[in-house]
Amino acid sequence: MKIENTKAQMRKGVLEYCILSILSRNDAYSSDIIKELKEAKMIVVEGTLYPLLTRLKNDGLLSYRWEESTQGPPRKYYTIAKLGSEFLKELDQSWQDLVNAVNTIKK
Amino acid sequence: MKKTLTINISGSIFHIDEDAFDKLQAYLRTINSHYGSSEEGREIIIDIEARISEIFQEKLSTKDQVVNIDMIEKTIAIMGKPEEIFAIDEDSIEDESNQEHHTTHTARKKKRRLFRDPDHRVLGGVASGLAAYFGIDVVVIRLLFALFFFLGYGFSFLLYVILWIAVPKAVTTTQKLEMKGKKVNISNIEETIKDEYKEVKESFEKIRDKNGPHVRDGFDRVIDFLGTALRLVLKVVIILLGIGFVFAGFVTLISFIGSMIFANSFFGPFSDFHFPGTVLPHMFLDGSSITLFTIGIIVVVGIPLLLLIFAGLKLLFNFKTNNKIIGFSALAFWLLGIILLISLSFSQIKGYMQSSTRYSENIALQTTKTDTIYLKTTDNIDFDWHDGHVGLDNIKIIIKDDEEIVVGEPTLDIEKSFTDKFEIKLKKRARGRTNEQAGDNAENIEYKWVQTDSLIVFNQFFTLPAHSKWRNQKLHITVKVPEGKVAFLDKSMRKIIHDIDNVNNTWDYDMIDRMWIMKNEGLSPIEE
Repeated sequence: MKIENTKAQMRKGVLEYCILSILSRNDAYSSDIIKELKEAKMIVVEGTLYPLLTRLKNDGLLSYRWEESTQGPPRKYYTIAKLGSEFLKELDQSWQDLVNAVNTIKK
Repeated sequence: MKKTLTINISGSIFHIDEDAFDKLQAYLRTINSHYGSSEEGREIIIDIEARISEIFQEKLSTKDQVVNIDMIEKTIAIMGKPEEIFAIDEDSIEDESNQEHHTTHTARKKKRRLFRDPDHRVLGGVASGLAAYFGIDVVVIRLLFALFFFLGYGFSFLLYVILWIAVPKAVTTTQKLEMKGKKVNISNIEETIKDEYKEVKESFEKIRDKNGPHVRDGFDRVIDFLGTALRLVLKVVIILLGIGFVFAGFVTLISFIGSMIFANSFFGPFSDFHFPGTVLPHMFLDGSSITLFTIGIIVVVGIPLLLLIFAGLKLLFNFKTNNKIIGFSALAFWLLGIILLISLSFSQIKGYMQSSTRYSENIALQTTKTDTIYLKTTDNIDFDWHDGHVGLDNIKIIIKDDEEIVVGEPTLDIEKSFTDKFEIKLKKRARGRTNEQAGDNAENIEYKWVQTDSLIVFNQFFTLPAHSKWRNQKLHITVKVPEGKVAFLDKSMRKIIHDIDNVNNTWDYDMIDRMWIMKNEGLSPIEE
């Protein structure tokens, strides 16, 4: 297995986790999500986010509504779904487990 | 001076330089072709275009009113190069090859898939995976497995192992999601079929509407209609096939393995059972070969059945497996089974290589004055068709009171005697690995007949020692009648007489219950 592959897989999982975490605090436009992720240095390019959002929505973890914005056409306003919250809870747990595991081993 | 074009992205109008347009178009095309034309793909593309439109709006000002190539490059830097965007959703671990890439993106949308659930497992996670798939409590599934385990002599365990091997484990997040995806149940299947049906109907109506002047168009639509109709039929057939495969494969496998195992009495409590058909191998093979033979047969017959079940499960549950590995290993095992059976046959054929015949002395019958002998047959073995038996050629294994009796049917012919006495001659024949063994096998044929004055009673069967193997044992009896003397064939003789030469070529079965006189030209009937 290539290292790039592993990294991409890790990143994807964590990215999904981060998106759900952001939305669990409050609903957001995709540009808000991008801003936060960029600040956290989770993503470099914006394009990667859209496929993820669409798939999370199709998996029933997110939903969105159209909201008028101050400038330009209406934009998608994302909300975490019930399944998403449950999923996030599980992710919180497994994230903690993972961090603990890695810390224990790396010590 | 530069030429500009006007474009519409996500509802907003932009002026764009020609070179910038080319670059943007190439960029969007790459993304387009990656995500395909599925609903999900289109949605992603729309979102990306919407964002590009936003970026353009941010960058344009009263000073720069035209989108130029520099702006496109900056936008691409923000959005990411196509490969950067695709890298994040490349499911390289799940995907076996890039060819499947497209199909996974479209297929993973909503459909639920069968996976083994590693998070709630006891053994392999099969029960919890099934529970997630059917949306039932895992306890119910486990109880069912346990129940069948005790009722069905452990065949549910076999099913469990098959599923454990065949069904992949849910490893990634997406797989875990698919495991609990949109429900698959009867109404759901009905729904998909209804959808398909609607599509068929619609495309059919389109043909009707468009028929007439647009012949070419109409033709295309007919093709389209046939395509959708075919898909609907196919879907129904696939579901039915899947159910059929699993059911047929499983029932056959269970009864097959059951009979193989029970007939060979591997299981203590079942050693009393006798399935006549499965005793057949015992007639040819000895001890150790029997076990090998059983294994060979189980492998050769069992693997295709397992594959049948596997194919059925795949049709029904739509899970992913490495077909190549499964196929090749199944083929390898199957070939090994065939090789085992073939080499067994070769080693067994050696047992029949040599043939040997032993003749008895001519036994002259001491008859008093009479010139007539009466020939009769008696059932020396009290054998009923209800008793378990299995036969090959003229050799039978009869199972009576848990005893195995090996018997054979002799043949009897009448010839002219060259002395003035009635004579009887026995010819025993058998095959064997060597000439001596063949001779020994022939010697093992035991046969009795009894003379009481002019009455001669033949046994209906010759016997072989218990557990004798089939070595083409044959016994031929010749009754020699001197010229001018008479033989009466009792009705019971029809069981053993075989092709007796006579002057008017009467059939064996018409020769019984009559007197026959030996004349110079041969055996002749005495008319009364």
